[in-house]
Amino acid sequence: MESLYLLIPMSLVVVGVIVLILYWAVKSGQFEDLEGPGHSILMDDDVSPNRVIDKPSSSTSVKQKE
Amino acid sequence: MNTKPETPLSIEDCYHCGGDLTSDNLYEATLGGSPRYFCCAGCLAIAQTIHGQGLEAFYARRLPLGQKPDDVGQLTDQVPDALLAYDDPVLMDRFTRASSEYPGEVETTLRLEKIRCAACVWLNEQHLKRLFGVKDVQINYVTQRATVRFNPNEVHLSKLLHSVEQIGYEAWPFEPSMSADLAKKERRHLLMRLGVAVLGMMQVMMYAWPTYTGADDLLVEQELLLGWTSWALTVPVVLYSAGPMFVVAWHSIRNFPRTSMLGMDVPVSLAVALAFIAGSISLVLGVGESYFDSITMFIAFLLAARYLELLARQDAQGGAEALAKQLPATCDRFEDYSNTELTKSVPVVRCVVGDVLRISPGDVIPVDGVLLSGEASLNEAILSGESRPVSKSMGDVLYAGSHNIVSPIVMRITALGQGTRIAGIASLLDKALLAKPQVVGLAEKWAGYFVVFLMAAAGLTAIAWYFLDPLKAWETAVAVLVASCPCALSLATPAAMAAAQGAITKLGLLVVRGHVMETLAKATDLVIDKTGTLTTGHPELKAILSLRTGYTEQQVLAIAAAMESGQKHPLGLAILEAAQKREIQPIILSEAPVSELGKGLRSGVYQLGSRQWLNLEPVPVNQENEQASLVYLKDDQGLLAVFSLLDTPRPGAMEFIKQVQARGIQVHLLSGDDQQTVAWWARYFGIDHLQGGALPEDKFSFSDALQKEGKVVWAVGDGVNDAPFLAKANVSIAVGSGAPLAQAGADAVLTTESLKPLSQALELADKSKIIMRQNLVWAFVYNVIAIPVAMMGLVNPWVAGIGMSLSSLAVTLNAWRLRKISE
Repeated sequence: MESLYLLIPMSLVVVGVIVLILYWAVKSGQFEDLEGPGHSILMDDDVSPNRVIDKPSSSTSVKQKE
Repeated sequence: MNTKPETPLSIEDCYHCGGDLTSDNLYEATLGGSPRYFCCAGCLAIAQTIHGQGLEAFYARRLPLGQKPDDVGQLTDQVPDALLAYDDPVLMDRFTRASSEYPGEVETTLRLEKIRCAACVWLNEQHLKRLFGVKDVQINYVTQRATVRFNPNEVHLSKLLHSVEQIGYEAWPFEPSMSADLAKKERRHLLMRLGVAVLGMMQVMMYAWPTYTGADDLLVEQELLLGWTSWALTVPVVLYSAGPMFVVAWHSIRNFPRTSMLGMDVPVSLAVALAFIAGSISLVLGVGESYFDSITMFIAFLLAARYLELLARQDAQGGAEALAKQLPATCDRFEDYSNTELTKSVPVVRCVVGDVLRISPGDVIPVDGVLLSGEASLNEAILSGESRPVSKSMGDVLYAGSHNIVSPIVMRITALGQGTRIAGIASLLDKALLAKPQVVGLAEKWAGYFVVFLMAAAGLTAIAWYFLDPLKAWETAVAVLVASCPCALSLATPAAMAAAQGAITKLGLLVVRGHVMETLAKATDLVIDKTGTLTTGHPELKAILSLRTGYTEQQVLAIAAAMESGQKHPLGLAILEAAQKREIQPIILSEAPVSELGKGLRSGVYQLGSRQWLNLEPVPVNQENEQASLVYLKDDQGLLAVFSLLDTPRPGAMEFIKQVQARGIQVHLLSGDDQQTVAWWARYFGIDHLQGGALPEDKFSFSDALQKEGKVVWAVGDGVNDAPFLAKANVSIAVGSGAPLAQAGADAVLTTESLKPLSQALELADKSKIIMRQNLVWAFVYNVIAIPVAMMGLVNPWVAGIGMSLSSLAVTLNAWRLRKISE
């Protein structure tokens, strides 16, 4: 039971760290959209890079005309 | 590319929208290496844009069957004038804000429409990101809002809006209001407080484990260490997580002389404070229980319930936003009305009273004003709830928010922005929400008394024992508090409420404010709106009278449908719908139908419209009810047929009214429609009390008058005109398909087409009332037995703890029975 003297202060430190992480998460809006990121990670993957690279030639219409 | 996505659509369907393809509207293009077919130029243009940017993966991922795009904005690369007006410095200032991190760049929030699936979000995000000048795009899937950061020198707001239209969606800039900011802050603060409470609860329960299991091999110092660590973790939970509760409780106590009412935070704060002080004292003295685990658990559960309620409430409250959406931001203003016909698209904020505007058919009027052109047909449903179009002639007053149906009109502005009628209704709603009577729950009242009684009992016990045996005084007083811990009592109603709300949500009634079930059971008067609530507000073809031999009902309907195709008049839509339902193909007309000022249509020999316009003698129509709207079809040889159309009652409406009346609730039918129509429908549903021609203010004061008589008013409505009275009533339900503004004032939102969930909610309300009573009686009986025993010093804290837990469990399980509801 001697270990309590080490474990309990340690648990306090862990709680403190978790609270800081929670504070950052709430503040930076991690809880604002709980649905979208789950989907977007699936979406982004299969855009093949070569299509994106040749995009300027095929999409002249998106250039802003000043 | 071999990884070309396969769509689930067959070749007979439009590649983009999935609509039917017929030979006369076929468009073909080679996209991604294979031929694709489209139903219209709009779909083709959208698909070309999407493929052109390498975003064709959208077609493989989206949910099948989109909507047919109804705008042709995507056909051109030129940004339309109506959108260009958004580049006006005044509007730019309103809708964008300078980015705090990136100098020279601005941020704007856009509300996206027609988003149906995650693929839509992805497509919009990718598409916007590829615009030159756009730096970052974030789309929130839940709220459908896009935050776009861009360089104003490289790309304009109008271009952003237009490019969203080019891929078949709609976007409108959204003014982040103060209240939205406040709501976000409130949400984040509560979430943080909840997080701290939950963490504290978990940790403190872990430290309490040896006490739960009765481990007796701990040294005294170790127990002290555990005790003080628990204390250290409870302090932030009490001070930070529960802090605002103490503030509210203090305000409530200070205002007690004026309001003679104590909020529900008072007993809660008292219980928390007492338990914390008692626990701290026992920790210092080294005797008795420390209630830190119960305190943290109690606060965590309470905050969890409040957080969920806050989310539901903020979801439904988009009042200001809804209003912004309903009024267009730009309009066509005459440059010099008396001299030229020339108009220019300008932002509404640039207009002043006295300016002359032209409103195209299909557009929403952005300001209040008077009609300058001859005749006009308008739909004022958003204001009056009346579904039938209203005819206006020169000099009549036009209201912002009404829909111009038939022909272009010219109007002079008399009021703008906050001065308009619709803004007035919105501010009446705010006023009503402030004045909403506070519902004091049964449990809150009881818990309030109970806490006072408990403190007295504990105090008396301490005094009595002080004289008998001063050493045991403190311990017994604490045992009284533990044994009686108001848990069962405070759980009694919230548990029943939560269970009932869960059940009713599944049936189609979304509870926004927690008291709905409790107040429904007490309702004495039901005030219900007609159009859109009791009836669907959409006319339906009831009967066809074919008057010419040789013409069947099908044939005349085919002619009428052909004439009405493309029209937006509600009666025309009903005729088209009926033809579609009976699978009748409209005939091919030799001439395109011409609309004549809301009175009728003409095409070749055929004329379709009202009797007055066609100059007909009254026809002996065998009409089962005089409320039906009649549409006459005529050709060069005279009258061909008469169509009879009628508004349809909502499914489940009749049963609902019968059930409400059977409970002895007085039903009042209040509607903006004319007295005669309202009376007919009141007879139809068997309602005795009715009032036609009711303005939003009338409904509000009607409800107010009933409440002054001591009645508990239950309101059901759907339109903007219902919003203030929905907010004023003791308990109110908004029909989900109605105006968003109405939902802002309501306590619950009906999400189904049928009114049946209302009947079920009523049954459930009765049932939850019974269960709440059972729970309260149980908690009361338990306390009546436990407290005296504890006062006599016969209960040790360990036994008291078990008794308390079992009592809470019994109450929760009893409430759980509400989740099973008969379909």
